[in-house]
Amino acid sequence: MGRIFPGATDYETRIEKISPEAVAAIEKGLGAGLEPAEKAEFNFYDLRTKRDGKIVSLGTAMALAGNGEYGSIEVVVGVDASGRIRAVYIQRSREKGNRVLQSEAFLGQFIGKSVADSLQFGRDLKGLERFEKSADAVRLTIRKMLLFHRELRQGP
Amino acid sequence: MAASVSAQSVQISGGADGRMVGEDFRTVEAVMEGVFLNVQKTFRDEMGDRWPAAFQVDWEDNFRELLPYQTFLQYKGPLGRWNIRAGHFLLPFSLQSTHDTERLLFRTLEEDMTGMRLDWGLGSFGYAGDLTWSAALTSGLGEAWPVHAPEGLVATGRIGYEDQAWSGGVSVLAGEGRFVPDENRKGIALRQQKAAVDVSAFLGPWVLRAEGIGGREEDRVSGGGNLLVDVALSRFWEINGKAALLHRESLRSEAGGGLTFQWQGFKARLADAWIRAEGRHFNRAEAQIYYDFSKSI
Repeated sequence: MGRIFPGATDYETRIEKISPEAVAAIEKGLGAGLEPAEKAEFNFYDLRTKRDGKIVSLGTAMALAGNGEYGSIEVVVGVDASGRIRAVYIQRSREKGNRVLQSEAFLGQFIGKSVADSLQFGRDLKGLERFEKSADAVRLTIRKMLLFHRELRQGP
Repeated sequence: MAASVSAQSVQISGGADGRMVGEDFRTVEAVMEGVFLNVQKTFRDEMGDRWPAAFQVDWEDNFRELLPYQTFLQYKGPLGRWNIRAGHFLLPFSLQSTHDTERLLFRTLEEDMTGMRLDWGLGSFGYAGDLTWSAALTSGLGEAWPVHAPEGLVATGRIGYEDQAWSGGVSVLAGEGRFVPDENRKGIALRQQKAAVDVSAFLGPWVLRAEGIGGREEDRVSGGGNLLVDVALSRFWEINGKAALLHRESLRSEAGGGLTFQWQGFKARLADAWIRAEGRHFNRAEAQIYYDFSKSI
């Protein structure tokens, strides 16, 4: 968590239940269905610090496993209060292209993006040659998390 | 103003582990290896998560035994950089510190080499950058319920390194406890001093894990090594392998291969291993159906 928000000193886990309406909105924004396990609840980690005796909120971290070619790709993103991505990293992956998948050149493209961006390769992102499926799993997982954040934390 | 503490929702998880075990392609036995239930709740203060608590029980061996698994109350320091824990937990020793094989067909060596995986007591763990540390002082009661007075004192500790490509650590275990051989949960009092080295490498679809454990127990020297290999073929299929060689009272060797299929919370595994133990050479084949779930209320 400290990697996502270096100034953070603590975090609080918030488990949000997902209504059928929110599932429908997320799936519409995604253009694809959610996995069955993703339709019940989602965890948010609210990062905080203390400044001049007051608790200051730094943003929210989210973690989600996407479907890679060789298993789950565990992606972690941090967003600020407006839902803009501050940091992203891959916690665990068994893909063949891990080195390029975890590179700054690939993941750095997502910094500053929000749910308002299409997150499409060839439009606002550059894909990865030879590892298209893995890159697309990461892209889709990040897009899902931004939609979860919009529907469950910001309000549609 | 006094800091207030409130509670988050309760996380409930559980699962079932059913197996068919055959020996030398002659005998076959069906066994409900374990059914488990885990309840977790984190109490928080004004800054966030502060007091994680967990309670897990496992019904083992066709519901014959109800045993505690990880059951503890923990104090979590800022961002979890340091933690203090009291209760029943996995000892920070060798490969099990990063890879819990309780419900896998190919296991790590700790139980074979020390007779103990979990114990009741106090522990502390944390991290600084990519370095991790963990230490525990426990009662030597092992996997039994704490209804008896402690029969010894066991100290364990591990210093490790962890990043996305590999992890590793060195650990020590020393003390006297009711170390439990696999087939006899009543256990025997045993004094031992052991050290271990463990390494895990995450090489894309390949995951290699190795450990070496050596030291003394009572007046004899013991040692062993273990190599575990998992190769993902797709997101559903994985090949597994194990090779182990260890010496306690006698020499034991094991080499085997297996296949795992996973879909949602279901896993199906097949494994076959050639084992030499106590002068006997035999084949052990296992089939496992495993299911787990997690839900908050």
